[in-house]
Amino acid sequence: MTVRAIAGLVVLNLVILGVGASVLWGIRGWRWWSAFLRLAGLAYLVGVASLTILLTLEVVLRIPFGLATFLASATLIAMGGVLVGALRGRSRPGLRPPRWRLGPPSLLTAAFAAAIALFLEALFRSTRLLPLFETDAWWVWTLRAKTLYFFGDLGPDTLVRATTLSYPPGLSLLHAAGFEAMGGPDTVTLHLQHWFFAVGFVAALVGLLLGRVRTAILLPFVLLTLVMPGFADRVNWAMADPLLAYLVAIGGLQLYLWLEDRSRWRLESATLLLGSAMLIKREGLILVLCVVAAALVASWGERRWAWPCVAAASGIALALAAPWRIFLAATGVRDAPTSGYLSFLDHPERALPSLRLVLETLFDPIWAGLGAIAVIALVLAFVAGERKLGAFGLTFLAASVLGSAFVIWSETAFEISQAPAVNPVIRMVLVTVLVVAPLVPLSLETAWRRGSPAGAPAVTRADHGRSRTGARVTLAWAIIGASLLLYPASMAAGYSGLALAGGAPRFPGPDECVLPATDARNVRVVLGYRETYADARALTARARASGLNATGVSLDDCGRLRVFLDDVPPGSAAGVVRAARAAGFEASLERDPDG
Amino acid sequence: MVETTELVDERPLHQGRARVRPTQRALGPLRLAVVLTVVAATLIGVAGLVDLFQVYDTRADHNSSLSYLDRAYGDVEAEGPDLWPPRRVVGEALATMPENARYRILFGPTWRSTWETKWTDEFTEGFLRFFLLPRVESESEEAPWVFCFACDTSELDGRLRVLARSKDGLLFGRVER
Repeated sequence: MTVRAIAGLVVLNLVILGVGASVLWGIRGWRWWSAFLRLAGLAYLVGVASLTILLTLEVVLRIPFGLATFLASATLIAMGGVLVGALRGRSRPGLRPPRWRLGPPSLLTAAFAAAIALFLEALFRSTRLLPLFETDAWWVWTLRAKTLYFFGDLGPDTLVRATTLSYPPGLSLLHAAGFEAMGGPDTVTLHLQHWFFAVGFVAALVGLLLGRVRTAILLPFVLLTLVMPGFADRVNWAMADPLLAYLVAIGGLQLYLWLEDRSRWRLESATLLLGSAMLIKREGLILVLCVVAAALVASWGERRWAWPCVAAASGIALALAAPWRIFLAATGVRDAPTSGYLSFLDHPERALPSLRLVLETLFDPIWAGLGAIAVIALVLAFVAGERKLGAFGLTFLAASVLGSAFVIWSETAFEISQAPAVNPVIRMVLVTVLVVAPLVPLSLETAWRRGSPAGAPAVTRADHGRSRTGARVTLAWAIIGASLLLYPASMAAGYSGLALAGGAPRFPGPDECVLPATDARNVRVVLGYRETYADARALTARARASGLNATGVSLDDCGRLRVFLDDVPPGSAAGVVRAARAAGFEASLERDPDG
Repeated sequence: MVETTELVDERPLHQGRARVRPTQRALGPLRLAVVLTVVAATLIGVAGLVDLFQVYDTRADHNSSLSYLDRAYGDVEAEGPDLWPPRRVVGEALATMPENARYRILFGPTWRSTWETKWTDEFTEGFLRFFLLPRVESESEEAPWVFCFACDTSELDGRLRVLARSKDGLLFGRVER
């Protein structure tokens, strides 16, 4: 809840970006830093993926987790990336190409960029002080993150229960790294880590599609994806589903783009992203299989060259996640539905209701129509002749719907209901929707290009920013600038209209429980605050030995133990404080609301 | 496999806009569908964003209005108070148990049976297990500390020294050996 904690998270995420940038430079390289700017989001997610994989391996090998381990792991991965880059002959990038300039944005682009920036600012503000109310975080994610933070491993045997151990540790490891960076297990500020994940996802999505999809098509769909109520409500929860979706979505997109342009680095980055997705949640395995199935179907016409590559990448991704599975098997933990893998055979009556529930959820208004729009866009791509894209998206959608339905069918503990307490269908479909979301603008761009009998040119610089000059360019930049300054300006000006902040941010701490004694009739002399009764008792004993015999202890409203003298007459309070200070206590006068 | 490291960067973005014929600019059915889809996405997106500003503003104000302890414990209003053990007792326990302590959690059948008991108990236990770390929950009878949620204290054979209690039946104490 402190500036220190937020600063720690900023540093942590810069480290993650640096790790991912090193890996990306190794597998791809770039000639210009201006090119890297566009890929920074992808680099960040690659950093998340690489660290997740290595840190999980270290947990399996019983290497104690801690700040030193995290930094050593980050350094190791970064050095690995640099080594691969050197072996592949990557050159040091220059600042920017000759005659390169930042194209002036159109008013439309500026408006959408501003909207996306405002969304992220509003999200940051509503996330910063969010209490940890997510029950799954208590049970699994943050429980294990705290365990890793305090004990360096998954904890004493009694703490690690079969129901929670079978969940992969990826998110908990990233949370634990967050605790290390924040300087303590601050489960409130921890939510900001999920804000960073979201920013990385948006940056990766925009960066990968910017050269392929005109901004007039791309940005409205980025905005739509962000404001879906089903996503916007959960994006900052300390849960694994959004991160799982980001990794599978960008991994799947990279796999599809690899089918298009056959760039090896895309397949390599997809392998890392999909491999790590399986270490974030158990459903990651099903989702990765859905992505792989989509790639196989989409590349049917080129199966001779494509399938061996897809098979190799899938095999490596599975191998990256395998140590955790082996660890589970070795510790005798069941990783199956509570009723068993084959229990669905005993409950055939659940099959159709499960499928119906998933389909109803896919087209539920909580996705702001994106489920239906995705189907339309993919069909349009298919009709437009882009069979590969249509086949990829529709196969993934179908496989993911069937996979989700199968999970619900198999797990008899799930009721056939959208209620979050009894069925995770909304979170499962959230991942499906986020994975197909990047394919929507890509499909529409294809349909647009092929929608003319003569065919239209690919995305041109003119589509991104024709030669605009003068007032319109100034206005476009002003819109973007205003979006970045709106929240800081509202805080400085104290204006809270239009859902703005309207004041300086608070950084609450236990000190807020201290009530100043100004003009109070009922006061108490506080000798100090302690965290434990042992410390409080020691202070009390010292006070009594100094003649302050009426010293007592009570729990305050901020969870601390107050060592104090109660019922002090206002007239003599100042004298008692002086005497206590003379005896070496940090005494102060406080208002006593209890009288 | 083809290595195309700089493919996207070096792709010529401009491909002769001047030579686009007027017929190419006409909206065919596919392009019309694309336009309608993008317009729909834009309208839904902008409307959703306007709603979200209000939602996020309300949440930010709510989060800011919580006390330090509300925030540290989690937001009772978000999940319903049945899931949270009485805060005062937990606070006393936190201040009493050393950090390397082991404790047991025992539930009686009548603890907060207003909601489905199984879930209430599991959530409550899950919260304590998470919140009290690095103090560790144990199923062993040797654990010296006990949270008794309307449990049958006779199994503790009169050895439980109660250190804190709530009105609705939670006892926290130490088992004397």
